[in-house]
Amino acid sequence: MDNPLLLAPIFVPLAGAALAVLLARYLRVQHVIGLTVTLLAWLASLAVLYANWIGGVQVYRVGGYAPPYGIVLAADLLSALLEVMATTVVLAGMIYVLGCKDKCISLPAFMPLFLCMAAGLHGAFYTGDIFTFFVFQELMVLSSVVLVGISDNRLGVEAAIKYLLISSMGTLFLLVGIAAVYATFGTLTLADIARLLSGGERPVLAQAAAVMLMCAFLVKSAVFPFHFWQPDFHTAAPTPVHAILSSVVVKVGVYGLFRLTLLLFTAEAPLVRSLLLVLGLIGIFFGSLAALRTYDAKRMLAYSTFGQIGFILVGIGWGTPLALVGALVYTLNHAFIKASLLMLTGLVSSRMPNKSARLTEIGGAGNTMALINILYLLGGMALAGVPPLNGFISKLALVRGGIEAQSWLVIGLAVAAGLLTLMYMMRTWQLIFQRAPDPELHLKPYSDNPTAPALLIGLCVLLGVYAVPLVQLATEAVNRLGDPNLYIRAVLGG
Amino acid sequence: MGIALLSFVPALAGLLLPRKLPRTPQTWLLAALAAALFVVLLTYLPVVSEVGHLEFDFPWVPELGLSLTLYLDGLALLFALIVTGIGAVILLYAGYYFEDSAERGRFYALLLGFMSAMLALVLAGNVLTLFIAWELTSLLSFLLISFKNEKEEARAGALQALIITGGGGLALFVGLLLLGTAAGSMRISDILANETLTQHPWYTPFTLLLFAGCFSKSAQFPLHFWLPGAMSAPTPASAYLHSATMVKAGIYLLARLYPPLHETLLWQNTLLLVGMSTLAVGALFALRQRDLKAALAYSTISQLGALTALCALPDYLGTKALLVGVLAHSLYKATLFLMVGAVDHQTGTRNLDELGGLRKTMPQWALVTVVAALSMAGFPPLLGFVAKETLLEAMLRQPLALFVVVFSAVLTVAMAVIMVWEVFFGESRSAAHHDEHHAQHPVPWQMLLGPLLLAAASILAGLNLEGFVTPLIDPTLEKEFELVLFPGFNLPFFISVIAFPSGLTLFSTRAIWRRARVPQPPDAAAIYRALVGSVERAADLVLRSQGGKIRYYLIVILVAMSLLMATGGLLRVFEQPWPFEFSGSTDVLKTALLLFTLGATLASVVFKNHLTATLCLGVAGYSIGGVFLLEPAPDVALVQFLVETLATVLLIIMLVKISPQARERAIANIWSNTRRGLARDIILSSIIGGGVALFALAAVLHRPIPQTIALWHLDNALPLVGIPDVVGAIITDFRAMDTVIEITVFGIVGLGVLTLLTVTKPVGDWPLRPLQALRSIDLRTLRIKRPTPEAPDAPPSAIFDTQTPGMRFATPLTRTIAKIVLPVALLLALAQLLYAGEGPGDGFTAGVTSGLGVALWYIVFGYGETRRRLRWLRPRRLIGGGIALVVLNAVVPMFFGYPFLAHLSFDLPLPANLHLSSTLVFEIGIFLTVFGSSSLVMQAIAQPRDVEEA
Repeated sequence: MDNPLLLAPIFVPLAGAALAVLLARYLRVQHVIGLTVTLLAWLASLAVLYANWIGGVQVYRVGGYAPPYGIVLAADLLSALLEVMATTVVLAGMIYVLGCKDKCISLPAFMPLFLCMAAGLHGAFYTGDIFTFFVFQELMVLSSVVLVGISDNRLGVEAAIKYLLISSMGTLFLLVGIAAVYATFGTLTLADIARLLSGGERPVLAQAAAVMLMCAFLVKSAVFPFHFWQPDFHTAAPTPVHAILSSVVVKVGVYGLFRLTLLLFTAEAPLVRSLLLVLGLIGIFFGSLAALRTYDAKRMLAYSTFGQIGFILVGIGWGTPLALVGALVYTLNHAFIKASLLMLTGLVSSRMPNKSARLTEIGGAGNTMALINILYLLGGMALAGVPPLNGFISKLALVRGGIEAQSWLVIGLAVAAGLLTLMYMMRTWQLIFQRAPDPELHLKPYSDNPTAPALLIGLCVLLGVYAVPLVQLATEAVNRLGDPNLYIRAVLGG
Repeated sequence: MGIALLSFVPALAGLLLPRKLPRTPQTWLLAALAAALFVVLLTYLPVVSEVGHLEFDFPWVPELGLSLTLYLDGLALLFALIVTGIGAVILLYAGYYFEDSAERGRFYALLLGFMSAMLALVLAGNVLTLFIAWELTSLLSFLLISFKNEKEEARAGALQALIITGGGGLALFVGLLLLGTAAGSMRISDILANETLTQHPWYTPFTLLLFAGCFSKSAQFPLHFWLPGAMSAPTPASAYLHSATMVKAGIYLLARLYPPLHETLLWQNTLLLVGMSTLAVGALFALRQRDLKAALAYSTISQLGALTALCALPDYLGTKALLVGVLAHSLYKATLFLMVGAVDHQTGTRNLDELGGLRKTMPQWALVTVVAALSMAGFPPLLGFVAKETLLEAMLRQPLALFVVVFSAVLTVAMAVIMVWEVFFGESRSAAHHDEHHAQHPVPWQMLLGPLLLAAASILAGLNLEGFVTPLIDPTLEKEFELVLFPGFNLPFFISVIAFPSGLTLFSTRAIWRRARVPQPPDAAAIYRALVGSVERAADLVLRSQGGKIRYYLIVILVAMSLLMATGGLLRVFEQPWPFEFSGSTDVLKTALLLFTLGATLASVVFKNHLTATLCLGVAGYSIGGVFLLEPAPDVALVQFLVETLATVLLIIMLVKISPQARERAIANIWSNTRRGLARDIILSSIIGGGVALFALAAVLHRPIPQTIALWHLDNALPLVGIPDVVGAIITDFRAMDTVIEITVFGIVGLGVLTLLTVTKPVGDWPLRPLQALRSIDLRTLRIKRPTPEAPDAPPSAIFDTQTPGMRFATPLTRTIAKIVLPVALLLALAQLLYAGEGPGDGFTAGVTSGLGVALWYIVFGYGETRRRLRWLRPRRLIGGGIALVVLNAVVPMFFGYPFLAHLSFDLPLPANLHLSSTLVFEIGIFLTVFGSSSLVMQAIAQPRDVEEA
């Protein structure tokens, strides 16, 4: 049965973008449009999640053409969950935009670009077609490149160019991988490819295509050694864009890896998984160490994303049901935590005379901001996995997954690296919020609006104390992923 | 049942209590609350001693083994009573300790939160819930240590404490999870009931991990050093957290898990060894401190060591001494800490060198301190004496341990005497100092109430063991025991008798041994610092990889990619046969064209002149178009030709905007590469290029599965969509959604280019327009160089010189041509739109064609005139309108009950073989967007630099 709600998170923001282009002169109107469409997208994604929970995989055949001949949108519980994560963070980002004092926010092109990025992001999670996935991520990449390029940060252009170059490598891998898949299977629908692969067909290129696609996803998620673009690109972005990039956009690659190992190349999964374990571990240490010593509070959070993605990859790498639940819960929780922390950092630096977040300058800047102080502390605790916040639930699920996989060395290293997270978060918190401010530091009287990060931190606390729904959803999602035929049958019918 | 919620009460009180409440009601209310909790807990004493333990279970996250379980037995009750009892005293004391009401409010909030966490810890019936409370206590301790947050040492001490206890916490976390998994349940009652845990293969790992957690929390050697560092906390917090309650959490957990785990040599030897070394180290170091709080911290460490050692003893031999020791220590040590707080409050110092003679000004405090110190020294009839006697009795069978205990007992006696004598007796060493502070900071009498109560408890409990102590420890001890003040003239008693004169001798000779230079043992704090330092150095090393040079980034990425592909099975394609065959002359022609492409591409790399290189690239693109033409795929070929033209035009125009000098510099930069660098680049690109080629070739040659969707598309283009052109059908119908997104991409790129090129960046001292930024980028490293004011870039060669009307290209001939070309292009576009389904060309090519027409205008007429003459051209609105039209066209079918993006055909009689269908609307939308975007890009590039427009 077709569910038209699947269209809403993609095309409502897209229509909003078109309207925002037409009404570029009216900033207020643009804001109203932006908020309305992101809110609608959020509600629709929640409705899809609910429908999924009740009735299984939701499908929409675009243009009425049956798969594999046309394009199909398909959301299983995994997609629906990640989509809710994405729409939630995008909504929070939009709320932040409304109260943001950055110059670039008031450019007429900002809102259309922001909404296009959202549409691309949302589409990437819902599409059931591998080429459409490529198209959506292209929309997302190009919008975000421009958004970073126009950022108030003067390094924005440099970072955007670097990203464009490296991302085009990822795009190339993805495109070649897709071409190989199409050449060997003659179809682009995920479910159809999965059906052919599970039917025992082992074309020569299957394994090579799996690795190629894996590389593309690793570039998208900024995993070692494909990560170089990420700190520059994310740090230079305007705060609300940074919040979305570092928390949900990097998860598109993670989503791809879930699909790759659990739906498509299940036979090649052991190879991919062992690679992910190694790369994940390297990422954990690389990111956490770099975050410990970098010079900028926003950059620290960008590096920390390496580390956190590493934990998620380790979960996918273990591949046991509990570990996958852990990875999935981790993916969602990290999105909310990281987005809120970035917004809070941006909030403090928005009061700095030069909007800097450099650690040498920002020390003590938050000393008088009581609310931001508490929110940042909560966020830091959540990121470090301190109970009772949602980060702890992720850590618990992940480590239980590791015990289930009996992967002692990896557990030991990963848990030890958790200490680094605690260290860099608490150090930075002390630096920004506990130090006596420099007497020569004259803070601006106004800052960005704290509503969005407050809401997100509230969500983090809620998901820590009342974790049952998310854990149950993730468990059910992993259960259903365990049988690829559910997805295949729902999409292809029969 | 209600007791399960007990641990939430203090935190709730902290949240709900009005911040603005005056001192007296606030203080007494909170103290009364804690006292009430104490009384409530007391009422459970008979219940617990009767039934053994109470357990309530609430589900939380069953999937992960989390449950809110309450487990109340004698052990938990004893600790909970200490937490609430001492807590009441501390709350009362703190109300008068802080003078600033904001500080008091903050302190109360943190302390009440801690009390909740600590209660939750001791009452937890699920190891995971216990761990949650455990972490919360660490965190609140961190916040309390850095309470005076503007002091550097407070922050550093807090962070150090957090890292040590947090690190231990992580070990504990894994340990508890392993323990719970091994026992098959996270519930403490199940774990206690499991008798086979010592035989489990995971026993050694989880026990060691649990030890790491307990040792870090309870400041056991060599992890003890965070505790003295934590003394920057306000004294009431130190008294509560760092002596009475939190540091005993490790002891509590060891005692809690003692029954199922203790029957191994690992357990007994490790704990005995660690406990004994901590006991000795703590007692020794305490004597050498001049800061009263540090001395107390080390003496606490020493006591914690004794308690750990008691957990080591087999057959429950240590349990009695453990419980009495915990109780006695909490009573006297909290008193001593509170005394230090009062002294600090009154005199402004807690350095022993500056104190003395305070008995005159603080006589009541002197009395309280004497009682507490005597209890600490183990003087009868105080509770401390009983604790020491039971400790000695328990250690009787361990000669070596007994020796350490005796040795540290002597040291402790000396410490106790020092503390009384040097603070309250002797002469006042800096009288003026005292007087000055005396006037400002008198100690309110209410602060004395708490310590007085605790001292009294030490005496009363010692005198009436039957009434006060036995009921508390009775439920925990399974077998019969006897606890008497004076058991007779046995070995422990004699040791006590010897300890006192020895301690006094040590005290009286303090002038001598203080001068002696004792060799410093390896300082664990230094090890910690070194460890953190080496982690930071490793981090710096890691950060060096992020050097900012994109060339290295790409090298790493491509090498990694090649390695992954090579191991990932790409090389397996060589095992297959490679069936090459040429059929007919078109294949030869195609091969020639491809070779031509290759040559042109290579030429574009080799030519040093940018314009020539760009043209070569264009030629390469055209050759590919030629291949498409031979396929035959005229539609695709047309798109390829047009896109290639547009790209080449844009590239050239943009290059021309950059001054020749800057371009030459960039080229020189690139070619200044070393030979090895060049070789590396060539090898790497060959590998990647070859790899991708191999991949593509393999993909094309090995098509095991019939091309199902392609055949279906061929068969159904006409019947379903009504157009014979299958490419058009795929673009506008079968895969229309891809097209919608792609034209959006095209549109926003136009917007993006305009925004990037025209907006001035308002940042800092360096206002920089992105175009300037682009030009100032070092092409080799892609880093922005600051433009140097002395040598400004030469003005770009003016292809769009708008200020002066005399343009280079504006001859009458070119003007006329431009004027003709645009309408023709638009007409051509119209034709392509209307007959999109039949011939080559569609909305996209129509847009590009028209865009090229506009480009010609910009080149010929320049920016200003073009904008003036083509007033109807509003590119931004074209883009917005185009995308909106496409989305609208997609949605409209849904109102008629058709799917999103469905093909609607209206059978209207139209002349000239025209069809009116939703496809036409779609094509118009595509046309508008593409046309708008390409003219927007032209406009952005042509725009003179001084015009501000967005």
